[in-house]
Amino acid sequence: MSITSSVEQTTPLSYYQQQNNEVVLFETAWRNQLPVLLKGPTGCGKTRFVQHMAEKLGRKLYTVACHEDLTASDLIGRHLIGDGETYWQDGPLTRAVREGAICYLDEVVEARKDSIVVMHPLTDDRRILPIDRTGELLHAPPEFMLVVSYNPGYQNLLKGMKPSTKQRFMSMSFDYPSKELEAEIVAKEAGVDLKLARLLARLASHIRQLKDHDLEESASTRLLVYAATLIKSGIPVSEACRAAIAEPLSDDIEVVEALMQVMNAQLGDD
Amino acid sequence: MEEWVGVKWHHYITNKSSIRYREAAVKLTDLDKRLAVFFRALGGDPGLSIAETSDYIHDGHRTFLQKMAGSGIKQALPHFHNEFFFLPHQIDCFPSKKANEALYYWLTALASLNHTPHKNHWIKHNQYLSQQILSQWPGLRARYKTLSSLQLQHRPKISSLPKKLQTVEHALQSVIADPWCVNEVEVGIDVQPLPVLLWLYPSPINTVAQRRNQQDQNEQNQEQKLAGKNLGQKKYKAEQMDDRDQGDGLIAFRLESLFSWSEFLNLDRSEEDTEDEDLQSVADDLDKITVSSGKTASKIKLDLDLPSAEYDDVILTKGILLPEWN
Repeated sequence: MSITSSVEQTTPLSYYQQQNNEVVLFETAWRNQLPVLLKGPTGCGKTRFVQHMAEKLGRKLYTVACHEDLTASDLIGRHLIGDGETYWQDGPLTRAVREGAICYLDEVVEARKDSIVVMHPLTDDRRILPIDRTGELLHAPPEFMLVVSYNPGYQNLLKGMKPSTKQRFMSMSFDYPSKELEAEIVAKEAGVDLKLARLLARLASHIRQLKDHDLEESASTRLLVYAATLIKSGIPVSEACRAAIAEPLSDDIEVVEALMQVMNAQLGDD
Repeated sequence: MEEWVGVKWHHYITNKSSIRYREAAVKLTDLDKRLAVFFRALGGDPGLSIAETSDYIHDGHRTFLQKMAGSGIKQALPHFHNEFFFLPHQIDCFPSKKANEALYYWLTALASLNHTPHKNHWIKHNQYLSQQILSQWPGLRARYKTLSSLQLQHRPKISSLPKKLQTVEHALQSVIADPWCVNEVEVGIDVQPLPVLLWLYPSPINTVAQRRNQQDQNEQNQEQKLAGKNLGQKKYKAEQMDDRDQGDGLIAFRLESLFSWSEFLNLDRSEEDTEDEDLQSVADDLDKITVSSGKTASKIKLDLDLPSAEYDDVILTKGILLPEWN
């Protein structure tokens, strides 16, 4: 079954720099009612990509940041008390199904097992959402799409995604963009000149070499955008890099100082 | 009284002959973790560790004052060896802590290219490394400028040097001042300038004797098969002994350079060719074997495990020191 975008574009789309063919893949998945799983490190653009695609396809986007206390009721809905009676309140997943929107569950492995299970009937060819509390059975319209994401770097045995759940999704891997592409993204996002953006991108590529050795996480594109934004607002380069890159990456003062030295070697001591 | 005067004189002449700023000293132990992260971030081999090196005897030129004071013979020089990048345990050659710290970072940056300078092209190789680092890390240019001008103040006046050293020193100072200058000069076997603080050194630290020895070996270029029984895998505590040129000291002969027979075994194969068995048994009995780097030593093959000076036992100085139990 083929569907088309029902909303005309009136506002400019959120900026997203395509790295491979992810835009076409996502659009094809939406047209064919396939759920999508996005994998990638923090701050590499997964959320921005989904936002961009929702705007491009003209669908409303429901984003849920998953956490370990997220239950099935948080997604589906619950009975609330008000005006002397109880009434049913739809959760974001139910609302997305009713409205034919895109539901994006960020960091899905953080959610409790029971909340992952409620997604199962939506992710196969049935595309249904049974609501036990009300006895309702919702059939997802063709426009509805379920997108989940997680960061493989955070995975452990307890919080890994079950292979059977993974197989219910079409998967797309994200990574930090190449230096030149990343520089373009930083320049465009923060509104700085390409020269500074290139230096920041180059710096990030060097800091990323420290992952798993000295740092748990790499410097994300998002952090580079923060740094560039601070610099553009008049904060000295060194101070901006400390606040936006070095400090968020490590709590170890020695590592922070070493990162500052790397930044000074790239950008100068002001 | 004589002793007192001697000590005073020693302190005076040693201080006079060497440039040290103890109040600005920076220790490697205070920086090693930062340097390790810096090293890896700049592209250094993550399999390498940073360690401190002790002073090595170098055969660089010494000033008249240094010869008189008997100082400047040894210096800790940055170099690679096995899985380590060795840095001096302390840097106090510049008047400010900031500059001494910057020197640690500069040396680490040079090392991050993972090149051991070629011993026959030491100047050019360091020049190349400096160029690479300065173009890849433009933020280091200002620091290099400061460090190089401080380093140039330490260099001897070209006119005060022996003739054979003048060309090398001139080239060297030009390269320090501007790593992009055109330079075709290299150090010769017998022409060793004062060590450059901003550069890396080949590993192991090359002395005149070792270079000569190597040259001899290249000329011979043939395997010397050890006759008689195999030496096996026994490991000896060993030390490398240089035939040092005694011409650059004021004292022509130092008593402590005498070796007792138990420490020094002159294995002259041309004369003692048939005494392998005896030599083997003598070697077995020895606790320590000193290997001379002279011609005679080039003809003997021993399977030696040479522990470097970096692995010396830690001498206990802190805490509650109790007398040894007996």
